[in-house]
Amino acid sequence: MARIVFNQGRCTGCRACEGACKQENNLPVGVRWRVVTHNLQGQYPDLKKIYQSSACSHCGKPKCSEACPSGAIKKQVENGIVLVDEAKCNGCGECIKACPFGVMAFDKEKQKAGKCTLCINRLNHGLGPACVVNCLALALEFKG
Amino acid sequence: MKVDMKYGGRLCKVIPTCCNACGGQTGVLAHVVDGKVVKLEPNSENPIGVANTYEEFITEKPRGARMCPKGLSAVKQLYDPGRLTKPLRRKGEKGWQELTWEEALDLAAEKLEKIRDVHGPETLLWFSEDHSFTHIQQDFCRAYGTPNYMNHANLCDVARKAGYKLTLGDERPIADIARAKYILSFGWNPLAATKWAYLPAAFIKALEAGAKLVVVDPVFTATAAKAAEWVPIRPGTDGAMALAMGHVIVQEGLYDQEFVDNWSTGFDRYKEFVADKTPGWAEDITGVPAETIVRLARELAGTKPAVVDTWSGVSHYSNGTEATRAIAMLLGLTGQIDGPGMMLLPERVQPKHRAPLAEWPKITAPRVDGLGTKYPFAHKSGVYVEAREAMLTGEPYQPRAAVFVFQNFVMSMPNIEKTIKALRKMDFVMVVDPYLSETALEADLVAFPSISLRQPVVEPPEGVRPEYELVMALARKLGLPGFDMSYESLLDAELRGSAALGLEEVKALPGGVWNQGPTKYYKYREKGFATSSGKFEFYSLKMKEAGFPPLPETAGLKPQGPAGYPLAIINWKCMEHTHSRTHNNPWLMEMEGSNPLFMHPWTAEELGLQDGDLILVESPYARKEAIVKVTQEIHPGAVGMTHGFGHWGLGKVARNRGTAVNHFYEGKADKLSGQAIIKEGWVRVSKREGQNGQDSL
Repeated sequence: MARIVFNQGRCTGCRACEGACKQENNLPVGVRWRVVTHNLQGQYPDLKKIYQSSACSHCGKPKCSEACPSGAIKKQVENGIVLVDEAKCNGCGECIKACPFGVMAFDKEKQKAGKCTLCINRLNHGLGPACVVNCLALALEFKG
Repeated sequence: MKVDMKYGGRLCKVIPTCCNACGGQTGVLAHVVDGKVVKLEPNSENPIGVANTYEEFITEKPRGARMCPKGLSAVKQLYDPGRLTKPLRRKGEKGWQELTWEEALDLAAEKLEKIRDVHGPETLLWFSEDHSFTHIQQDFCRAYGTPNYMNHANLCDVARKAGYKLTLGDERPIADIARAKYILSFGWNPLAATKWAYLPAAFIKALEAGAKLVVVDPVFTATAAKAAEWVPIRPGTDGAMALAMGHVIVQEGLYDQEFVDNWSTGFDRYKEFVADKTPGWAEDITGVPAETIVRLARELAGTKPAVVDTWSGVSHYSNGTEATRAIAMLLGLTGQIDGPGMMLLPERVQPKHRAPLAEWPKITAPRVDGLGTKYPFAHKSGVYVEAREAMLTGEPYQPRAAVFVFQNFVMSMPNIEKTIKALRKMDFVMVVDPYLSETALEADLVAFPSISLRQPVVEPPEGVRPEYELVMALARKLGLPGFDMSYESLLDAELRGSAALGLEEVKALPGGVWNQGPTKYYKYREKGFATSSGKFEFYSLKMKEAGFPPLPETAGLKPQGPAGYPLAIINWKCMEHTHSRTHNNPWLMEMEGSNPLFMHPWTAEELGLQDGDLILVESPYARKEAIVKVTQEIHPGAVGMTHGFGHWGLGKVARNRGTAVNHFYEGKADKLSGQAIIKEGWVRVSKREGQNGQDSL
């Protein structure tokens, strides 16, 4: 099943993935389908910074889909990609509460939920997801 | 041309160009639909997003090129509703009058003509971004008759340039990170100040092949976060640490005898000079334990190939050139120059700038900024702080007009108040900028260039022109000879003079990129080093002739602040922003929207401060509010913040976000290179109780 694998050891926290996602999906401010966070560990001067680039994992049994009362979220049979059908989304926000990874976004203007599509449009044309293509540290990898 | 999937089957033109979101000029492919740029994709034919040596480029190219968040957000700047769309003329204290393009040119020509005729052409000072179209701007200055053309480099890496030039004869050596086995960085943060998009992947490649990365820096930078070892150091003392490492390498006989004997000069004097620069001596200055210095010196000398490099974190201090020399000497001692995995001395093919025309005036006036005289090792980019002194003092003569192209002089120069005072002494200030920047707010005339992309890919908005068109049109208005051609024909001649290919031929190459071919190594073995002796110089006769110590004596100075200001204040770059000019981009501000003052928990405890407190930061030059971030990511003796925030101009997204760090500095220059001293300052910090707002200060 198609997915993006994150290599934490490589990530330098540069946020190219975030920028690529914003640009590819032309997302407004406040809507982030991919977010880089970090966690500082250790005691001065032996510090460690662990970066995390997070987006939808396209789960095997997506909780968001189970929680959606309007049947707007479906896992595609052919490739395993979990997609939100904006036309069906009623903006209730149940999917946001249900997602165990906190990666479901909400567009307040449109009153619609949204998230990573794995750049399905690009995949259909033989291109990698925008975040993977632009990852400066080669930390994101697409597995088809 | 192709039909792209995302745009409903509409025709999508794909045009190779270079990103201008920073100076790195990463190769990009602009996707244009119905005359609008819809997105930028990386251009794999352009090595900047892939690798910095030919071999690495060929190996890595199948993985594709990459872009950074600034370039990926550049469309937001291109179509920023906050961009200016009409030239503006100052009207009264705060008002602006909109002008047509012709009216703006007429006004600029009238002012510059009058200033030239009454006060002399040398009273015009011209400041430019270094990755804008600089040759045509230099031509304008030459044709007008002023020697005072300057550009951004003086605020960037000219101390690094001078330090490397004096030792290994190259102003911009480039480390072959990907193949190094040991990487020692002094104050260089390439994983956030990512000048070239290939850098992060090169580091990852080296680390996964087993290289050890050691980062010496007062801040736990993004680069330090990937290092095996972060060595926090007192700001401005890196030179002392480098000298002590040299001491260990010499004393223990760990240096590269063959390189030192055959390719260097002055080693015996250096050996004598570092004899008392013991690790204990350096510990006192730097705060780095002596045993750490000894261990790192042994590791460096015992691992090959190795890279030692430094950038702004060292060079933005009063001893920047000397500290860079001391660091460069570690490369000489270990012989790690111009081989794979070492510090490379690149072969450069530059566009050929046309020679001055016979019709242009002979320029006899001296430069206003002491380039080459007061500052013997200054770069051609000028000495910004001396230019500002001249504006204020009238010495050596009074400048009357200043033009700024893509330069936010007010925000970029150390000591903001002083810069504003200097600009207010000018008879005429013209700013060429897409925004009402803080410098534009001090201008008499503001005109707007196109932004973000190098090769034009779409028509600029109404009222907007590329800066080269503006400069050429202004030259023609003034009747200056040599500007009656298209800009493309000038570019074509520049290319033919160097790569022997014209503009159209380059555009026709895959990805619009000409590549000069395999990287050559150890070039010094055939042609020597480009220093005065032709060798790597531990001892510099040039320095001696200029009246300075021939060995890097001031590299080991311990910086001292004025009484009452106990904390060193430093600043750095973040990945999401370029200088002070991307801060009206809503996507980038969403990623990184402010710049709290970093403070070590030990220091915060002493001062009774907690994370997130509103604080007052005071230096001898300014008192400003900030928010404190209490974090172990900084040396206890220093505080610091990201440069570029704290706007009161630019646009509504940018305004009132964070604090402008350049308020706090004195604003001097390094005596050798003329580098503006942007990171050496001192402050005291206290909790700000009960009040809010900068206005009350």
